[in-house]
Amino acid sequence: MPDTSARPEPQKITAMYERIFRSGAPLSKLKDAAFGGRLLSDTPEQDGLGVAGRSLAWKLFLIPTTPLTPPASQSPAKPLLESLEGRRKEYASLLLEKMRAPDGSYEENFSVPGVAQLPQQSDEASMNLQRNNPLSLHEDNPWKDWFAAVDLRKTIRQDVERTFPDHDYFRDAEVQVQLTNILYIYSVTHSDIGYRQGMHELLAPLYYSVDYDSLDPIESPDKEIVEFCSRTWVAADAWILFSEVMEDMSCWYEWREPTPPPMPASLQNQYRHGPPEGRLELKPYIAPIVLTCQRLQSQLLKAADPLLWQAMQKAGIEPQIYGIRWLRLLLTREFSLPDAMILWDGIFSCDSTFELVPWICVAMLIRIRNQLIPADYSGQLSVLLRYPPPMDIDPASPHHAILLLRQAFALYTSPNPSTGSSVAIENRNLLNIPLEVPEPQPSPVRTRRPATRVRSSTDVRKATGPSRTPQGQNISVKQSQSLQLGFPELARGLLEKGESLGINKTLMNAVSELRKNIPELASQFIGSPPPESSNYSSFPLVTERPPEERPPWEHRTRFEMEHDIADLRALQKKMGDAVGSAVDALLQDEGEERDAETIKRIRNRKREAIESLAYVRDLLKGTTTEVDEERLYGEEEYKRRRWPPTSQGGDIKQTSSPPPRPPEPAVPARPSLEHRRQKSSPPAQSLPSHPLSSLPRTPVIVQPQPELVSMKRVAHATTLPRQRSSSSQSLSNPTIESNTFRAPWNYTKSNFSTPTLNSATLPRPPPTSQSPVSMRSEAPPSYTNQMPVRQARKASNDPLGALP
Amino acid sequence: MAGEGTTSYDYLFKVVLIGDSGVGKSNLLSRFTRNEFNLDSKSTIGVEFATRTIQVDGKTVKAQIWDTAGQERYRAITSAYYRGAVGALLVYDIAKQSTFENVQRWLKELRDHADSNIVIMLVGNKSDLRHLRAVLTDQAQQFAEENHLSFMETSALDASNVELAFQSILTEIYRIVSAKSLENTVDPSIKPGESTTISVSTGEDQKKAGCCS
Repeated sequence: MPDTSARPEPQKITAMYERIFRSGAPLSKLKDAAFGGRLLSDTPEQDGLGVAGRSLAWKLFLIPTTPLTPPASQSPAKPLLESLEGRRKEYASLLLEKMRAPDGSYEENFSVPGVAQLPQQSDEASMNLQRNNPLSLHEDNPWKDWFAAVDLRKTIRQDVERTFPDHDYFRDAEVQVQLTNILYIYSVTHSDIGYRQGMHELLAPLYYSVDYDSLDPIESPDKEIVEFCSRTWVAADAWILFSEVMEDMSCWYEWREPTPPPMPASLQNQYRHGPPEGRLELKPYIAPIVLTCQRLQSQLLKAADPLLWQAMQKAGIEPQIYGIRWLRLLLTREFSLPDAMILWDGIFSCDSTFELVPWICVAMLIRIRNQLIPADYSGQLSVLLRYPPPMDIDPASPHHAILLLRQAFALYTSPNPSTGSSVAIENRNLLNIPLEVPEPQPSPVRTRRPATRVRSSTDVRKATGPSRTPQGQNISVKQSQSLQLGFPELARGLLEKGESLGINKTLMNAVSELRKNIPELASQFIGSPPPESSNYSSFPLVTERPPEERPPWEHRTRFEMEHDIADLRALQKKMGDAVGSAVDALLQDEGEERDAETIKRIRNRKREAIESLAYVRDLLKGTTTEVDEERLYGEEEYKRRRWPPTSQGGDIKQTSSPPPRPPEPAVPARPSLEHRRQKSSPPAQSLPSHPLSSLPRTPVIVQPQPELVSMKRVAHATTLPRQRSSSSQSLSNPTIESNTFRAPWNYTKSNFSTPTLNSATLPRPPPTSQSPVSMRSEAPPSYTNQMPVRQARKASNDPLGALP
Repeated sequence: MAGEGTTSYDYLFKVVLIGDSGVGKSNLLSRFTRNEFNLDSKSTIGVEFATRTIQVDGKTVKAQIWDTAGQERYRAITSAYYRGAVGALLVYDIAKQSTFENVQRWLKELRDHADSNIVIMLVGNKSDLRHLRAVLTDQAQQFAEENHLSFMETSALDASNVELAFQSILTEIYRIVSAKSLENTVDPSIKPGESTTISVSTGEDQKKAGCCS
């Protein structure tokens, strides 16, 4: 045992004993005092660690007694002492039992408290040397278990030797032996968990506190106190406290599904040990620690500080990465040992003992929110895994650990953002932690792509207020990209202005459509990728990189994926156009009044239309991968499309959603209703008369009919459904949506609202408004149900130019 | 985060340290990232993490090195631990035969949880303990060859080969990654909590997603 100079004077311990057990103060008052840091002195006396009377309070708080509430007349120490004495004997007998080798011997220098003479090695003749012999290969050789136990003790010992290397107390050989024994006894009596790393660091402070408060019989005349604080039973008392703590915490050490221990069949009906029935369902096993951590971050933290939660979520922080250590060690690595002990005082004094712990973690997170929110993934991880030491604070304000307890309790009792912000305010007032989250540092960037941050004051920004949205990442964007991202802003501004001017709905729709289409279009024109997506993996993609330079876990960038989707949409659109043309062709009237030449042409056209429908079917079924435009549209239509309006590049045409053009200018425009009504009948009648030889299968002719309608609607609809692209949704609802993903314009400031910049300076005029114009000159509209859109588009030129 | 975090880099590689408890993983980490060694360091609980930026072939490579508790094949954090890891240092203690015997189990762990193309280096640590050597260099070398691992003996205490070991695994990763790679087979919506497969295979050209039609 370490020399006595490391312990307080016996009077201090007796004084504390008097105060705790003989002052007549009710338990609840003592607990309140301990929680508020008023029960014990908060300045460690010896070794920077010891606080007299701490173990007395812990014993009182942790060890259950019978009767649970002693009569008021009786000293609360009495039943506690009885309880202690019983458990001490239990520990001694466990030691005797578990530490004995199969031949009845004990290790050298082994001693059991309260047992003067260890039982002699049994020389009984009954011992079966056939089996009971260290070298026996027999299945039931008890030595096998013994050797496993020796290995276990070695494992424990390895950690015990590394316990709190900064504190000399734990370097003492005797202390290490006792710690090893306690952990060994615990793990053999809890075989479902066994020994797990971390337990040693939980036990060590308990053992230290008990030892610190221990008394030798000569040190005090008071028998009761000496018995309560008996130095003989330090290890046993530490074991008792440890078992009590583990009662609640062992689930955090659970690492495999608990198996109910086998028991006699006769008992099976009376007593159910192990997990309750509900746990036995077929679910993948998730360790309780992981569940606790997930709850900590995604429920508790989210309730108290949604902004911080969002930032951590966005960075992809998995709570178990930090939570495991925080919880399993009860924060001994996050704070200095004396500070952690103060936290333990509060934790142990709570009735529902460990429910407070996750809330302490939440309060800890809130305390470092200024470091977390602006940081990226590795930044956040560094702070979480190396919790910053407390700042120098005003000596008048409460100890930072006490403050943490108080905050945790406030959050526990009312878990909501307002409590969260009052915690932040308290931190500012008492710990000088500013409320404002600092600007994120420029995050690590690829060397070759310099970061240019573009800022503006769009209303998206304003809505989030001065406290800023937690844009954890800051994105390096090229100037062109910010311009690209400015498009929707512009369109939105127009939309809002238009609304105030009372411009009609159709126009509004058109503008909003334009707005919705722009990001995607723009992203195709300007080959700059949109910034990385969130929730992509736990690894934030710091910048967009060319694929050959990307590390292998960044398989596909958001840009690539969006690109693919855009390709798909373009293809869909083409098919829609093709189907549209086909339908138009099929709808042509072969009336009597036409001359034979026209009829022949129409028939030819119809045959082509059916061929193209068949081709669309193949495309949709995925049997063809390469798109052959000629086959898609039919010969004539294809020719027409081959020479698009000269002013535009091919890619623009493709994405700028040209409306399906009629194959036959002569086709009369019909009111949409009539159009639809007739759609199904006439072609069906006329089809059989067509030459079908070129078609692969006949049923196709009938099949596409119902599809025609839907396809056409889809094709028509594709001009609008582009807004379904997830990114643009958030535009209309930036505050909510930004939680789930980061649409580029949600976090990239655009400089669109600056007065100097108007549509004239845009890199390219919005294409959607342009293409219909040029197209119209070529082919007059045939679809009446296309008209509203078209009109709108035409009209949309106006407000774009007219509005400032 | 400050200092190291603000430097720019070309590549970011995640490398995990695995191996039995007490073989010196944490000290390898601290030796490499901070040039520190601590004879009695605390046992690792959960995860530790540190970064260091080095130069490989003129490129700046930021190594993000993860260290975990050896005792537990830490189920609770396995998926998070191995996710995205492109390299693993499988560490054993040359003075402790059992830690070498367990290498096989750690390899299985890697097979189960890490990407199949993860670059693995077998590291015999504590090479300063010559007088206590229990695992012969040749024996380990042979094992490494049989399992297609690279191999090196290090000492975090006297710093021998530590730098070299990390350098060479990072270089190997870099070669593979820059040699070209990227199979886009993985669902982009990786959710935390799932283990994912990431391919680092050298192989056919996958240059995709260039310009559309």
